[in-house]
Amino acid sequence: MTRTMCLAAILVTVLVPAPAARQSSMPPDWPQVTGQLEQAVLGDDAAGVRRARTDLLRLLAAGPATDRAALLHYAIAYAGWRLSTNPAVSARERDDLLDDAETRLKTAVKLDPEFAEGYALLSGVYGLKINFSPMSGILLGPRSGGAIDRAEQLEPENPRVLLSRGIGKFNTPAMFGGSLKDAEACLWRAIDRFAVESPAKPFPAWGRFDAHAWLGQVLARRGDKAAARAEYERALEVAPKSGWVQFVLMPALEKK
Amino acid sequence: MPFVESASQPPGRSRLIEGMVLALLVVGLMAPQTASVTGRVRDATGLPLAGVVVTLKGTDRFAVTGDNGEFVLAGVATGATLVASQPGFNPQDARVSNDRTTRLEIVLTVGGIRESVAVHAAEPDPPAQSVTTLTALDVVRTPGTQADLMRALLTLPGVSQIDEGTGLFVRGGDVSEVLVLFDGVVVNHPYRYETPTGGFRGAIDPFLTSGASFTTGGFSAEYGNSLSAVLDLRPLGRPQSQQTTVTAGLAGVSASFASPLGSRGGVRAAVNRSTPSLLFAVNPSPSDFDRLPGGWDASGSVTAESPRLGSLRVTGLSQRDHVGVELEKDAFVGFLHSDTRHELIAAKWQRAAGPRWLATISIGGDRFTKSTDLGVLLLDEQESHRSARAELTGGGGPWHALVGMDGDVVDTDILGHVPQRGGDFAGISGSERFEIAHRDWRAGVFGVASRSTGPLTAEAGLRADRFDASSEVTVDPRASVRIDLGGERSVRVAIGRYHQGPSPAYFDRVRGAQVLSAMSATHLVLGYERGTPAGRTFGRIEVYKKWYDSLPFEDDAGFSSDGYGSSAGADVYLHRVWSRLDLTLGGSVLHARRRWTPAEQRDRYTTPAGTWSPDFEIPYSVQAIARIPISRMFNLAGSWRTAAGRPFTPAIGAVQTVGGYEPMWGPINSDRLPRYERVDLSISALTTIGQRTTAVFFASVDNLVGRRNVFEMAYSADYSARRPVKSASPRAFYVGCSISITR
Repeated sequence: MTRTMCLAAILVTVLVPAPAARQSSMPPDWPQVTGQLEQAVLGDDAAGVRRARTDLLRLLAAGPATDRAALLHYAIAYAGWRLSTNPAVSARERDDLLDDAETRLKTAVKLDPEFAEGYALLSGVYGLKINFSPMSGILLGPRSGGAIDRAEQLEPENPRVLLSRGIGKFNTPAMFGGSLKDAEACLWRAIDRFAVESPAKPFPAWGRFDAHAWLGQVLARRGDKAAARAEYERALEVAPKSGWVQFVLMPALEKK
Repeated sequence: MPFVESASQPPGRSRLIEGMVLALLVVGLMAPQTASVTGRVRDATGLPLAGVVVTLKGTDRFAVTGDNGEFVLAGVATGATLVASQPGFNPQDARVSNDRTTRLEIVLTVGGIRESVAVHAAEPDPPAQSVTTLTALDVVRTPGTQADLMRALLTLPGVSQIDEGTGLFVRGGDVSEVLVLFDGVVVNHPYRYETPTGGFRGAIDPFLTSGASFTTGGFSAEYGNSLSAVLDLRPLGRPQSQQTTVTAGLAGVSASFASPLGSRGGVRAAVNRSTPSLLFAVNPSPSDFDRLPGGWDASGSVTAESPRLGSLRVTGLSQRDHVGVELEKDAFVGFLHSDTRHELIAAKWQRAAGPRWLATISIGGDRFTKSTDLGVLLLDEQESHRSARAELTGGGGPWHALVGMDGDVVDTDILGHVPQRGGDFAGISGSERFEIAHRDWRAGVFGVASRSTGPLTAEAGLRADRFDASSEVTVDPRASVRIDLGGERSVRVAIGRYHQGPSPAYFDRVRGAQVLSAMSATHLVLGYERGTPAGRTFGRIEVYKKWYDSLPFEDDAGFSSDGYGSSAGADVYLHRVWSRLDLTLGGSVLHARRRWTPAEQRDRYTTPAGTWSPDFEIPYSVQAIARIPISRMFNLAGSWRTAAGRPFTPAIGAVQTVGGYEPMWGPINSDRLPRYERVDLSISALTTIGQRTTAVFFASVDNLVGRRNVFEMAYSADYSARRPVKSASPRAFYVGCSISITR
């Protein structure tokens, strides 16, 4: 396949909006609520994420049609997934949020079996669960792998699918299929796709910050401090208030 | 502003649809009354909680609380249950009353830390075995158990209570026929204050465990060296936050501490001191003590988890017990003095072997030291038991498999003097030296495979064991089939062969056995289940038949393996949860016959030809346990248990000898003690203090009606008069509290 054809394929994949059924009938408050959610995520504003999650629950309580319920469940799960990594959240709340996210994402992909982003985030939720309880990886590792495999089958060039695959490859032990090289390749590809994703794309449009932050960690582990620092700085361009990058990743890099 | 749940409106233009609406209205008039439920959700400090999901139980309809904690949920039928849930808080049920203008006030308490995620390889789904699972909470919520795991297990159908102790006699089997595992390691002395019928408390504190699985028969080939039942205790996992708990009650004080170590390790420690003087001051015992029962125990565990190396957990336990209590046996009245030390260590390592398999190795042992004096009986006992097991479990698709090996090594040294005639502690017939120096080992291999096909789950297993002392190899095939009948109903059939080495107590060098074969049993179990154990309604009925062979039996030539027997019966277990009542009913019928000699009864009775009722043949037992939530804070629980008395052998006269009167016994176990009955009550209150402190206050009345149950008969010196031995446990009051601080 020529370079031009590749580019065309990528453009077709990332510029074509999400299936109409998922977006067309969302409630009027939807753009505002999801906008506030992403703003809170990037602003490291846990209270804001919590508020947005509650607003999303209220939208869901209003009894949406099936076609939009999948995306609502996805958005609530996304908010819970984000909250669960906040250091101010207790271990119990974290576990409850991740359980809730898992349940909602399973519901979402049941309602919409073609929902690639639902599978990708489900894989990420399993990944976080494994992070908090490493031995659960024995059970959840294969499930995480199965979910991301399904997401890739459906939308192989979706940047959030690539991001989730890259994070998974980075965090999985080599003996179970993890690979620094594969992680880097996936994250570079994700960044390429994010670069061509329309800024006006409706939710879900998250992930640029994460792609740079995770690629920075890959590069740091590979020993390329300068490149890692550059990626962290790019992440901070997207989310200037990120405590994770400023106070965890950057200092860790300087100690290397 | 509260947020209102709404339902989508059906379109209604055509006459057909109008007709349908009309029909729906008519149906609606006949349907249960519905109400618009309003309410408020607050935390324990009274602050309103926003974003709480209030769900109509059993549906996907829900409302979300506003910033003021208020919610409205329309069209809720009277009697329905709402569930309020919020991440980080314990979910709370609330029932909608018959009042149409229902307003609910719901308080959510901060949730405790969950234990780490349990690691399982692929499990057969559904399991072919019938297992009852108890958690520490189930134990403490069962009245009359005194927070003892073994006493809680005694309330299950299929388990017979033959005295005031906690010994588990399962489906016509002896107490020694129950295999107790702690993290995969055999607990050879699972009771404290040991007696020939078990003991008076379980050795393992339920709060050291995350749960216990109890299988009363037809268990799979992974378990060896057990004839009747398996109690599999799982220790607590890695703590995920720091928690300190202090408990004080009439019987003693205890403290525990748990803390994570980094992100992948954890440590736990607990100490407990039994100081029952206050308990006995409040509840005078009719028994005389020259040394009140007491002791202490300490335990600790370290857990480390690594994605590469797997998880390792090491748990240690050390216990000391003592007692000096007056005992009546036959015509003897005297003090039993006993000092016991017990140490247990268990290490378990688990690691994934590929994506679908899990490798597990458990290794450990227990060491038991006891000195006993009772009349002419003087014994010093030391026993060291080491065990190990390694297994690989996993599968794919409908298949599940388990392969492994296990083994035990036991060193028993007992030295002292015993009555020449079993139970004759006055030494009327004389006493003799007693010496056991017994070394034995057993090693086994096993494999189990199961497959689910549609409604059918079949499991087949095989194990082979080498028993060193008897130089024999046994082969035990076992199989079970579970058929799902739909509607949460299933039937199960299990059949299997079982072997177990006889107790070292038979191998006295003076008069004991030289060699005894491994005892054997065959189980046939047929069961029917409806519902799920965690559901609102669950019922299980099992009928069974067991055949025993190669049991130790003493005749004029000494001990041999010529004993045999059988048992048959049925067990029923019913559990139903209503909004204001949690009710458990259980019942058992049992018919058992044996030709055998328990180690402590040697040379005691004249044995007839054929079989007779063993000491633990309890023809019927019935129990009911009710738990009633009085309010959000208080819980009341009550239990009632009754059972037929156990068989006993009556003295029908006596012969005067130089040493005193020797009893003449009637036909063995030809009489039966009076019916056993007991009512227990308990109440507990749970409250939170701030965000991190939880306090539990508990009080109980054991044997509420003060019934004098009889578990033994005693005699006058010349055996001319018989009297029931008074119960050491009359009505007893208990209070205590436990405070936990989580950081």
